[in-house]
Amino acid sequence: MFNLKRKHDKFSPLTVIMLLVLLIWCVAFIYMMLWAFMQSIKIEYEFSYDKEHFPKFDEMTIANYKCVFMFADIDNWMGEAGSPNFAGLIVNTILYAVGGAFLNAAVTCLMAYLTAKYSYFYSKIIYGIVIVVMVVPVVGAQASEIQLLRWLHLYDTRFAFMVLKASFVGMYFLVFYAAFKSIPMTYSEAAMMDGASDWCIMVKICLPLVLNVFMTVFMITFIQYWNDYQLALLYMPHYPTLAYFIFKFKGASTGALEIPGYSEIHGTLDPRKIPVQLAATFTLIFPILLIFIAFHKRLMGNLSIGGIKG
Amino acid sequence: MRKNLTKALALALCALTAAPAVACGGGGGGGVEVDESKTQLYVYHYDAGYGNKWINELARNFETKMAGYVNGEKTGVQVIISGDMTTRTADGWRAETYDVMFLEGPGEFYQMMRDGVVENLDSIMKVPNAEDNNQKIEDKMTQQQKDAYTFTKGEETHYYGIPHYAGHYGIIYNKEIFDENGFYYDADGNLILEEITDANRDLLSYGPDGRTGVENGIDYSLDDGLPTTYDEFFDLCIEIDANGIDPVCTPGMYYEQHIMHCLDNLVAAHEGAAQMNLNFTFNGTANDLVVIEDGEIVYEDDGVTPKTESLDINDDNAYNLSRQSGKFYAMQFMERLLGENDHYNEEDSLNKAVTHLEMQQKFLENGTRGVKENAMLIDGVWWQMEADATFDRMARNLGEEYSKYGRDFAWMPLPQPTAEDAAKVASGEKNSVYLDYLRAVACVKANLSDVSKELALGFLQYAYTDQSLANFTYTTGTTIGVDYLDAVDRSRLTPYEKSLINYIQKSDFVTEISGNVKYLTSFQSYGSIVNKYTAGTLAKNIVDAITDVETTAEAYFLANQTEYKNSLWSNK
Amino acid sequence: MQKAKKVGLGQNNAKSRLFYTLLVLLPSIQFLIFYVYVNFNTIILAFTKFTLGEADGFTFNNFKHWFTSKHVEGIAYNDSHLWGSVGVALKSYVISFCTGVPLGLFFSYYMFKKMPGAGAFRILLFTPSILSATPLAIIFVQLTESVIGNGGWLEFKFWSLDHQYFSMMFFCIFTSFGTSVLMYTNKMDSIAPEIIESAHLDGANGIKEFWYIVLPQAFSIVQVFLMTGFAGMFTNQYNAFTLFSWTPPDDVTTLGMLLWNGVRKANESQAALGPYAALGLLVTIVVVPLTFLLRWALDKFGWKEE
Repeated sequence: MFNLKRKHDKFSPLTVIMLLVLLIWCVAFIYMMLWAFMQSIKIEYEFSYDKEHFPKFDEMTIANYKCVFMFADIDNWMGEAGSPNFAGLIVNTILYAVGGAFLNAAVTCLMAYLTAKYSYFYSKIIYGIVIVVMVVPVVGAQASEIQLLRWLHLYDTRFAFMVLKASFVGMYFLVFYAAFKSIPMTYSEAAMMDGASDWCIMVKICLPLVLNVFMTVFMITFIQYWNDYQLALLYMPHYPTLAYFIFKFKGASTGALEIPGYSEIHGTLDPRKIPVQLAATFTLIFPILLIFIAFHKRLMGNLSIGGIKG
Repeated sequence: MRKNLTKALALALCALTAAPAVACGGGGGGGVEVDESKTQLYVYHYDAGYGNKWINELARNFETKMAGYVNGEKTGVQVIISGDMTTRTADGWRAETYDVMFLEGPGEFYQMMRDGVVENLDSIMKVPNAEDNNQKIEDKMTQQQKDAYTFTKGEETHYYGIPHYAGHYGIIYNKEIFDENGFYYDADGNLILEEITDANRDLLSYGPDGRTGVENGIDYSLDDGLPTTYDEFFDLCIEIDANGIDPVCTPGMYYEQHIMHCLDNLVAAHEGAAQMNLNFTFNGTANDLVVIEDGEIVYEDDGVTPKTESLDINDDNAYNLSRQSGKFYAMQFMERLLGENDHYNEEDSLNKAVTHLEMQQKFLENGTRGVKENAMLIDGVWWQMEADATFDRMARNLGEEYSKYGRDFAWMPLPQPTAEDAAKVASGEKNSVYLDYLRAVACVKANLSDVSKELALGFLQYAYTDQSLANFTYTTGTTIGVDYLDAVDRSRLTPYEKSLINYIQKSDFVTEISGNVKYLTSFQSYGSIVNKYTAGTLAKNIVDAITDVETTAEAYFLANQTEYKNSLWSNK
Repeated sequence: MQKAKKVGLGQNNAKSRLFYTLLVLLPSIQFLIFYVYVNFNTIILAFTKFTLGEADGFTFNNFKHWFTSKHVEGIAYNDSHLWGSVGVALKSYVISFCTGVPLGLFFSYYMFKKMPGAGAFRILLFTPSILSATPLAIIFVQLTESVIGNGGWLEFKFWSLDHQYFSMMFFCIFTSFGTSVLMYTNKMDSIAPEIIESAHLDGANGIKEFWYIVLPQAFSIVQVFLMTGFAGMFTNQYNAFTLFSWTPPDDVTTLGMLLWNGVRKANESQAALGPYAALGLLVTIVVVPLTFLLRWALDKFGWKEE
């Protein structure tokens, strides 16, 4: 894990330059996010006239955020009646992101364990497959995937995505593989001597040792799925996630909304206006930022891979 | 630490297993509940700028009309509407389960007709409808539309589609600013430049159409005093600018789309309906192709007017249409508009962060808050619908006179390149054109059950009664591309809508479509007519060419022509 | 492939074999169906001739399509840009590596040296990678057009024809340090302190220390990024879609964007997908040997860890 406790070294010309570059980068990034957030609480038409400055107190409003939530309450925001409301979106998103990430991490972890710990020929095949798949670009398989899902009666169901994501190929296989390889065989050999079954060794000895890695991979995958709208759109169009909702928001064709406590003075609010768009993006960003702030050590600590060696 | 992790993991698992239970109650899935006591009709619409209010209203009205419809044990009809913005191929549509479809820019419609994805509509097209004053839908269409939406298999020709909403980009002007400053021409061709009220409105020239007053329900006075030629247009721009007002604005985020489509309309204005149609039919005589010799344009003795020639156009030589003089002139127009900062609002119109909604807002809020006024906006005919929120806010804060019914905006007939052309329009020798690039089409899926087919055809027939068509106009402020505008009650329209409908009624209607197979399979794209056939010789399009690369219209015209002839046509 | 050692669980044990088989079974079936079958379908598709939307025999036309005609019946493609997009992809790969990798390594070195603010910088650099690209792109465009560029703070026009490619690459690199810096720092941190100290005693500091000690240690990670980046070069969109939506200008359209957009346009039509399936295959055929060649070269000429 990244260790911060060591003492600072002395500055060299290289590190001074790097400090400057890093400072510029950070100021730029923080300003970018702060600017966007401040504009997302600005009254929409004030934004048109002054995009540079942060809103004055009397130009601030939470209506842009209200508009995002109210848009989800419109019965046909998806273009058809019966579109899910915000609660429904959250359920879909959690299922999609948590479920998909958990399955993906679990299957990857399991296969990496079996491959790393059992030296059967099949293990070598699996390892080879992972390397090859990582290198070979796959193009245009979506159409066949959808056809297949239709044929399996999984298309446009909540489980479509999970079935697709219950796959072990990907970079994290190598991460798990490295983690399992680093566990000395003596542990499991000792357990075997005591008559522990394969299941016991896996569940009670080896898996707990990689739990940290598992949580990290799970969380990184979770974040990735949380932000993804394209797959949800493709495989389960009637189970939109929050990210899909935000994407849909860009082209909202429902017209302007009446926002209580705002529209009386400022008129109806069109979801397509930039400050409302920014509010929508922050609705998507905030939960992830919170998770990141809470778990950043875990997220950033455990990952290492040994490189691709044949 | 380990304990916390285990807890977190357990929580995640709980959330995973509990969520489906919640979802069943909470309704996370989309889709409307099917009313088992009624017969369902599934309708798809392309869910874009026109919104879905109109189709919801149409559906509810149809349900009311069909309340007594009996199908076995079921009584009444439930119309279930779906919409997205996904384009599908003919096969894609075949896989869908919609009964009725309203599509936009039907790139695949020809294939859908050919492959039998859509139903024969003859029974509603060719038969008088007793509920619509015994009119046939067929009679509301132009010949060009009839050619495009019929298909011949063996000996038989049938209808498979009906044109739906129609629109394009053009210039909308703020009549309040024009009136206040007298930005009009008088009969002698001089700018008036004093406030115009009802008392002195007779100072105005008769405008591009050369007529005034109301005849057969068409108001010919709406364009009075407006510029008739490019020169007049730009003289006016200079005058507007001298008054501290920005003459023309367009949203920077979509400037290509707005300006390129406006360019098409300039071409149409000069070419007229018949010559414009050649771009889609590839069949007829083009009579004003610019003569090019040794890679140079040949001019008349005046050194300004390009020499033109005639040519019979067919599938093999239609690339010559890139030499239409209207295209040359329209490019010159853009060079004059974009090449000098005097004519457009540079701050917003070339800024990628400015959306159409923001530009519309500034256009409406003219002069308030110390912001420069904008006299003209390049936008789609539907702009007023998009600006709804701003109209609403202004009406609430400033009074009803700021609502869309109180404000005075109008659709501007586009000027002609030369005085000679303007004279032809004024004398009636040449008519104005209303161009539709959306090419929306309504159709019915083939091979439906008898009940669904009957309902689907009934629904479409109902949608094309004058009453339903007029309802569309009241709801959206725009029009459907068939002939029904006489049935629209003008008193229910905003001033802008009145001017738009008035313009459409007096103009020749051209849809960017034909029955020509080469056109349909190779050249029918969503782009601008001028841009459609170019592939980045100088720059991506003429707007970029002029603003970024500082190319002249003449150079762009020549390069475009070469590209079209040598590369694109031979490959199709 | 990993050298199989003679140690491991379940040597010649029927129970272990059963356990292994049972657990491996489901994921393997999933892989066979959703990877092998699906991709096999795509390969078949690349060679299938379609007439009126129905599969109708074998053809090479989907491949020829990219070298001769510019048009498949029924669908107008804007594919005249194939070779241009290959060029854009290559250029983008080189640029992002020539700037992204050194900067990432220098940043990581700064953190490795535990200089002031190292922890905070590391977290901040990672933040863009947890945020969805679409919102970041909206914010970036709004800010550069309305506040920074266009005569705001600078006269520079970020999104003019001449500058849009620069702006796109800037955005990509600006937001790209997250995972790479994370991996580099984790790797550098595993360098034994004794090595560093002995280097210091030998007088190696600053650049020398970076070049001779740190870089060789971190090179295995650089190698992974170089190779996956290379393999992904022709499928990477470099944010062209998030920044330019459906119609990106030619000079920012990478091959990845061309493919993705083509597949999207073709939607579910097998006939229209044919040329794209073929192009995907072509890319694979070209990229796989090149990737292995690159690996060989890196192994031979790159830094060695020990």
